[in-house]
Amino acid sequence: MTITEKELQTLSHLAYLDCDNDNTHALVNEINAIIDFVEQLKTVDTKHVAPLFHPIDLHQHLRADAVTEDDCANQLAEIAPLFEEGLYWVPKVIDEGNK
Amino acid sequence: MKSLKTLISALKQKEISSVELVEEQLAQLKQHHHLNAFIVSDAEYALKQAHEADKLLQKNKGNVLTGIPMAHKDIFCTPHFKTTCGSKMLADFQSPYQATIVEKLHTAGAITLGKTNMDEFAMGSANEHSYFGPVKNPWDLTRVPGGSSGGSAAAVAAGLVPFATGSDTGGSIRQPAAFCGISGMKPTYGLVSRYGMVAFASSLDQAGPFARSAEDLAIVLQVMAGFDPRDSTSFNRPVPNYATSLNKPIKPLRIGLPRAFLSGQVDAHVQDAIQEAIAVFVKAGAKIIEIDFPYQPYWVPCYYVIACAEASSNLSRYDGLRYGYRSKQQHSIRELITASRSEGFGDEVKRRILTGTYVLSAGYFDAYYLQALKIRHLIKNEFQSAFKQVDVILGPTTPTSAFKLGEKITDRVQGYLADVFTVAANLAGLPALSIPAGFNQNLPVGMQLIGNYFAEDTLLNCAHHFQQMTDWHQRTPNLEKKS
Repeated sequence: MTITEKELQTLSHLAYLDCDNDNTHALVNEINAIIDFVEQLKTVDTKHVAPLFHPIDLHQHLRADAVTEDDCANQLAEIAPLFEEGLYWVPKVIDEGNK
Repeated sequence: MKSLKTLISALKQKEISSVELVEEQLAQLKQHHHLNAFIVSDAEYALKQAHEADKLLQKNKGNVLTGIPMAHKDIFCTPHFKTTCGSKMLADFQSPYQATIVEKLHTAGAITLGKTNMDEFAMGSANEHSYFGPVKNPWDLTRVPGGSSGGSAAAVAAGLVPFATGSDTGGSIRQPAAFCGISGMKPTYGLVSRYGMVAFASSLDQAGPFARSAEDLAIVLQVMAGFDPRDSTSFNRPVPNYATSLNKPIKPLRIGLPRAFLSGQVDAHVQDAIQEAIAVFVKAGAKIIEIDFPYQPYWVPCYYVIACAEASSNLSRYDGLRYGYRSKQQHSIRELITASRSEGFGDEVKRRILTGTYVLSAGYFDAYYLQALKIRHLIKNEFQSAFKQVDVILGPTTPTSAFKLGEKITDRVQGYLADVFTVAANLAGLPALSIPAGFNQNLPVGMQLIGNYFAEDTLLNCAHHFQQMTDWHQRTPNLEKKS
């Protein structure tokens, strides 16, 4: 199984990455080398094997429904790219999404 | 270089003050700046804490690590330092909260000198994929220190700190420990809290310590381990006293030796070192049992499918909107997010996100991702079968010693195979450690011991006995000549 440059464009669109540059051909080759490498997994008979999502049996522990942290809004505001007048500022993009 | 245990004793006995110790380490850090082991350090901050530590030590009120300098891998959120994760994406990220292990080590009295370099988002086995440049191996400056926790490993090996923290998703503690000739442990999945540790592949990631010996690892692990209600994968069970288990007799010990671990894919000098290590254990009364892992050829491909899939999901949070790098290309929401991610992530991270997106996409999900999860089940089962016969599994940590900088950067798949012996412990969630077991042409060879779930005490006990009978862990790189 290999991917083409066009399929790479689809993947990069899904992943919100821009791969449309001079290195596209090299990137396709690198991704294909990885896909070739993992292809061998298909040779294993797993007909009666359940998938293992988590390494050890673990029951999700639940915390009491109680407030455990102070309001950290100011700290979060400090790490935002732009925060003024009590608001998170983002570029005007929402109404131009289809451009 | 003094061990952590010796330094703790020297501080408690007031043979040395914390200020003296921190000053000495800061001088070392400055002298060996060319290793690029640290992304950031703060002498003023460290010395301020050292003065406070000395006041406590004077009153005999110190905690277990009071006054001891250390370093955190830059994947752990810290209150004082930025947390970059080795990425341009987080180059200016100041976390609003701190990781549980950072808090625990601070409470125990440890003094953070700085944050160590790492492969971007912990993706790499050579520390060549850092936004802040590659780290050099203290044993040979033309070679890699291993990755992804290469900065922490190099810092401990060079004597810049007596211990450091790391994270291990597929070998990122054990492989650099092996390449740098020090001891490093990946605990059982769930033993050490991951709250405040930047996520790479959540079903595989685990935090752990680097130190100069198993005895020192036991001291640090004792502080790091334990249930954390803030981490939903944390295991709620009592933590044993690791120090007291170090000197238990190992005589009835059954050591499993996987036949494939000493095959043609492993360098001859690594095989020789491991054979000599086996002889040491046999002399101590251990019984060697040869075992087979039929699914061993699938460990690495299985790991890469799962790790990339989880990475593509975890890293979707970086959108340039709420925090992290934001591009100046802002004509549409898609362009803003795409440009922020494309400019903020390095090439290896992008490759893994794209691979993960591929194996999770419609039409390929069952063939790759689901199949890998089923094989993961088979891998876990083969370890469970092995642990019915043996107490620990022994082998080389890596098939080679540290390779040259740039040697494997062009062949990704060859680079991935550096993790051939380490990824299985992550897939199965088992504890494993790496300790030095020999040298070849002045390059360390690492030995890996894998244990059953929560058998960290057994692993530390075995490793400590080995280090009582050998002196590989006491060897240090000759940095003077190379500086």
